Amino acid sequence: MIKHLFKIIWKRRKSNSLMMTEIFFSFLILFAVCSLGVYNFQNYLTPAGLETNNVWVAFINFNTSSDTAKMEYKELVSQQLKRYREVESFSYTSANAPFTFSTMSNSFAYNKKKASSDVITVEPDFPKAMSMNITQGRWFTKADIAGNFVPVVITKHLAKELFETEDAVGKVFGGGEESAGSKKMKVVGMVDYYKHKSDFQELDNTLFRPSEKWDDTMVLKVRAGSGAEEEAKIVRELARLGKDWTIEIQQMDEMKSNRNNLVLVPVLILLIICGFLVFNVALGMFGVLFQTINRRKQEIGVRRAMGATKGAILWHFIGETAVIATFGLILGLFFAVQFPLLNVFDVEASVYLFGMLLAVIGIYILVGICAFYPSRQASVLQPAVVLHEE
Amino acid sequence: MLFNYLKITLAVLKRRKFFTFISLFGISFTLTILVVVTAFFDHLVSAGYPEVNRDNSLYVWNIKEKDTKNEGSSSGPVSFSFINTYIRTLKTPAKVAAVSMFNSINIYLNNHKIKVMYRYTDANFWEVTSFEFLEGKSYTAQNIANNDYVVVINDNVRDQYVGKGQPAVGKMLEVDNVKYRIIGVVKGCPVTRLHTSSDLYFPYNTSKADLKKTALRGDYIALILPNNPNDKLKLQEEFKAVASKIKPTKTGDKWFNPDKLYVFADTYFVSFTRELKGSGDGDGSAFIISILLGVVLLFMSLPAINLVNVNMSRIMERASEIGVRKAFGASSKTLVMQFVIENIILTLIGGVIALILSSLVIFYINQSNLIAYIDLSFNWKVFSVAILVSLLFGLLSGVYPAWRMSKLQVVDALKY
Repeated sequence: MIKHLFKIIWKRRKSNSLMMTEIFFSFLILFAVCSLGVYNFQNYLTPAGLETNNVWVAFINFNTSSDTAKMEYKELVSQQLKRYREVESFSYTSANAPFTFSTMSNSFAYNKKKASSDVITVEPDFPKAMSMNITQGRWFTKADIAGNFVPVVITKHLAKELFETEDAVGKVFGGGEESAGSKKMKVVGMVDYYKHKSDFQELDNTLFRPSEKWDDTMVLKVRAGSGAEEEAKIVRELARLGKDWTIEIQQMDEMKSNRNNLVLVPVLILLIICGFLVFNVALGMFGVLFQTINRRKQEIGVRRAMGATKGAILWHFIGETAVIATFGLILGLFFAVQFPLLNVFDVEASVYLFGMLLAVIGIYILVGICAFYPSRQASVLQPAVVLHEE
Repeated sequence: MLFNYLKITLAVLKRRKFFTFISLFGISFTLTILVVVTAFFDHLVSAGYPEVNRDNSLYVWNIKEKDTKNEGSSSGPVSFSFINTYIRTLKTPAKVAAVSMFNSINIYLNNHKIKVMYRYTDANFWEVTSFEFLEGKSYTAQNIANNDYVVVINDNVRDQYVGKGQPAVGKMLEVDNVKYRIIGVVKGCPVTRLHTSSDLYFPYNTSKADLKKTALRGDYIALILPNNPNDKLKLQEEFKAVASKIKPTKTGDKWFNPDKLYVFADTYFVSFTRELKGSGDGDGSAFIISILLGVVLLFMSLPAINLVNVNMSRIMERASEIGVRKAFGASSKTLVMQFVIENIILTLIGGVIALILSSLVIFYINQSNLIAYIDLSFNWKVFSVAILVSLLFGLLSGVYPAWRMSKLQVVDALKY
């Protein structure tokens, strides 16, 4: 039966070629959209590893170039913040605090294995402010900083890349060539997740190291319910400490949703456009199928007269369309398979495979729907009437 | 005769409602998306309020220093002193304005906060741009010389801070513990005018940052408007000569000691393509344009194939009609003519629907507050090109099969 269908379509491949190209292009578009969707959804499902509720980010600019003055000012701010009941914990960080638009990265090496990683410098209170869960080891303390090694905490992703299956905690490693002279780093703890760019971020390499003297961004965990009133009070009182300072506070929740929107909005626009495109194609296919089946009335009449049941006719035409789709899909899959094979965009192969699977299913469903109505029309034809027309 | 064709066409279109709907939907929907997308693109790159002189202006925005030995590079906006030393001294007559990158800050007012963007500018900024002042005026070189703490705000801030429609000039605005006197209120502009949009504009001398620093990199953008629009190329050449003599910063750092420096006076569009895809002296615009064209072509291919497909089956379906008409003596020419007119009419109807649809979408986007102050406009150029392209496809796909069929023997055509 299936062989028979393939034979029919292959014989008329020329007249079906337009349909096949259409399926081919639709598949490619669906494949792209599905892969993108799968990729983002997969990332969305992994835990964030940090809590943004009731977290503020303060951007402080002391407007001074002297590092000693800066350190004094920072100490002043810390002392002042400890007085507020609203502020539960806080930590200075480098400019690339979670959900800001800054990035900072560096490369690291262990036993000739190299890895590039985001680097953020933080204070010991950082995990408390961000409600992070340390899965192995512990966070660095003030006492660690004085030691021979720079104490660092890394994400599981980075641990896997540098140390593979070995236990990460306790390992000593260095930077890439760039920092040959500086102190070596020692892993004191590991966190499983740290999604600091958006909810749709892939798990990535991050290394936390002790804060530097020029860090002037700050994350603050505040008591639930603290709003603009408390914020205004704190900013006013802090700014009073130094007249040249500029202080801005942002809610991390808002920052996160901004970053999420940057990912979501383009995907949504793409989805809408592709949805319309596919709908357009579906309508076209429906019309063309309707017309082709109409033209084959006599053939249907003969088939019916020779004993084909209604169901057989219905399935025959749906099958034929499915076979046309299969030809288009084979061509499309040939191109789609190149993505995981050539590792384009550096995304896991499973994402592409899943995308392909979804796109194939989508195309068959689409074709099935488009073919169903015309095929049913064909199946209810009375052989006597049709053959009489002839 | 033409009227006859028209009547036939409408009758045919009405008879096969479903096919008509498919064709119309395909044409109008594709055109709509194309027009809306290009309206966005146009909005991003072409001149618009308040940068009406954008096409004549040059932008010095980014300076890039490269260490060719260690393959490191670092880049960012230029400093205020860079603009004074290297750009204001250019010989070609032009107005040079300095404007800082935007920053945001919160204004606290009776227990709620207004998040605002602010920039520092010089007095020339108000001459290079064409802001519409709803009230008051801009600050001048005199204000800056007097070290006046004044500010120009936009209508959005006025509505929130002072009250809707109330006079704001003369009132004080407190930002970061410093009081500024409101000197003017401008009509706001969308954030997509990346170098000019802001909520507050301060004179550069009120900035807390030290402007005397002579570093090359800083926080400013230079907008250059030649007095004579034809001087643009001359200015670019002159600046290139000046830039080639600037020495890279001596960092003293072993790992990053730049030995090459890139800074250009670019047109608006090129200043972005250079940032995205430029390398060395190349500006990357060719690459970006070909990518954009590629995306549009890919997007258009599907509706085009669909149109061809639907048209083919429409004609095939009418084989017997062609046969009958031929049998009654119609010439190939008359038959083809009819299909040409049919296709033109179909495309035009689709075009009209697209026109209405895209105007509605653009109107909606402009009205809704998705992006404040956005002012998309209908792009007639793209619309007419798109109509021409769909006509071409319509004719190719509808008329060619019809012509072939009209060449058929009557007996064969009738047999279809």
